Amino acid sequence: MSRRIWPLSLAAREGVATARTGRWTSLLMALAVTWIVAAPGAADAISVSRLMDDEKAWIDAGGYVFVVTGAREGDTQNPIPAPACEALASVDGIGAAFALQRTDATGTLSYIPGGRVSLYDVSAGALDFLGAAPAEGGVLLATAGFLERTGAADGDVVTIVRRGATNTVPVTSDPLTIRAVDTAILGDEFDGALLVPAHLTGTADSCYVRTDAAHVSAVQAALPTLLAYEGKPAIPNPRLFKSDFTVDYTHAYENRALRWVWVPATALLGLLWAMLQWFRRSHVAIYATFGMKPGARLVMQLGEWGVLAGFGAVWGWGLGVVGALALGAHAAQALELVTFHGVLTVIGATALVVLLGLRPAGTLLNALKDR
Amino acid sequence: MRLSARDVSYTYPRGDHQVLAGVAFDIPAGTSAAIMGPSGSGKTTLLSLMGHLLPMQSGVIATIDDEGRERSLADTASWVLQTVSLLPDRTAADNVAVGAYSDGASRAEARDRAREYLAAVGLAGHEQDSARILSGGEAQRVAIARALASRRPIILADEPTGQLDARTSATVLDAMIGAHGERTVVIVTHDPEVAARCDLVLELRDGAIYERADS
Repeated sequence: MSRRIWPLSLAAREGVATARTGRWTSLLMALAVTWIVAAPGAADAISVSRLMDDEKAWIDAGGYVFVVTGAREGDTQNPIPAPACEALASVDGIGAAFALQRTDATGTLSYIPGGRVSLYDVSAGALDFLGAAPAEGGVLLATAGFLERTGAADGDVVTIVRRGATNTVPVTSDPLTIRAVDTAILGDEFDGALLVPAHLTGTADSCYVRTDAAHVSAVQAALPTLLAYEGKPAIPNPRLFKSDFTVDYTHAYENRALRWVWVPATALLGLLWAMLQWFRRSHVAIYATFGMKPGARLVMQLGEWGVLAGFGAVWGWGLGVVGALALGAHAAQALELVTFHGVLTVIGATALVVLLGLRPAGTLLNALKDR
Repeated sequence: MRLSARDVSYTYPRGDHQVLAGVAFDIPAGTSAAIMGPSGSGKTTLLSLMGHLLPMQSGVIATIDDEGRERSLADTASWVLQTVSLLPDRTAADNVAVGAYSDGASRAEARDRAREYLAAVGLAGHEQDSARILSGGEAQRVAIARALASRRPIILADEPTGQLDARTSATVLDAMIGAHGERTVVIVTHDPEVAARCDLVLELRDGAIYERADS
């Protein structure tokens, strides 16, 4: 009975042995895989993280906030219905909303006479909108500028003395707990002011509405009707002015060039493997001369590739994640994108290894023919 | 395995010089034959035609087994080239094992054959030497051991002892030619001492078998 020559298991072992004994060749190939797996994912993770940071800064500055006011009629501007504004928080796609009423009153902390600041009445939704926790007895929303000027601190319980624009009798409030808030999302005009949660039952000057990227268009379209005053539609104004130079972050994410960087990475790995095989074509010729058929040869090459790519991919993944984190990428993006690019690069390169392995091989006799 | 050539002629396409003109020979199974001749006499061309490296233009070269059936040279012959062709990162034993694998040997059997044939060419104890550190002569002997380990019935060799001293050359020829009838061996050589070891000598001159001598 004739014996089977070059069974696939033997061919695979030869491939592994070639990788194991390849010394500099194997080391350089594994290092190439390492860097080619690491670099694209790390670069993309850093790029996406920066995009996310920029978007977050933009959102924090009011990127998805609408300031809704009533329509202007002649010299007067219609108000907006405060209860309707407050109720918007329950509308799908709206994260938070509150009504704001400007007052002509000023206030001071009772223990710091003088230094009057502007007071704004806001509906209860402002706490959620600005991320302030409620407190027993009520809260006073104070900006960083106010706290800096007065020396008051978050959590202090204070009373404020409220004075109207005319010579009315000052009113001292019940004790209120100070909540420090960042009002940058509302605009610079509130820096140094106090926002006083109040029960606004009638109308208000404006309504602040926070939405998100997925709902911004629908919310903008719905707000005129939702906040109409006496049948007259309200006007939603984006808190941040948009221009041709405004970055569309969703578009920027989906169309980033680095998203496809695994394609040239794959091609580069395939090219390196092709060069390696070309320089070592005499090795393949030796096996072909001694009866190794194309199927077994492919398995042998895959065995070698599997070892080199396996080590390289693991090292590359680790290097990519650590490198991306070191260069400021977010952990989630580093893990996700280094894995994404690494997996696609290795799969793509393996496909190229298979394609290259299917090419006909020369034999030692061809070497004789070349003489 | 018998090698038979009838009326073999060959002219290289880019020249009008006829390298081989009506060559005919018969190398019986289990014998050794040396092909000799001056440079340009057509030795390598004849070997290339025997190995189907060059397309036949006229004539026939056939490999015929004991039952009279024509066999493929690719499955029946091992080659030893003048240029050394080893896997440089592997050991001498690994290189010889490649020949054994072509005969369907298991790993253990291939290891045994590697030891046996390396010893036969005078390289006992060099099994674990990396092919990279072998001298030219040692590497040539490893290539010969690899061909022997394949246990194919035909060995075609192009100047196999070109890099060996006389004593080592004799050892290698002992191993390669072996006992009479063991295998068919065709050796292209310039060395009369090598030719003297063969059963037949085919002297090529001006594209024809000038002389056929039976040792």
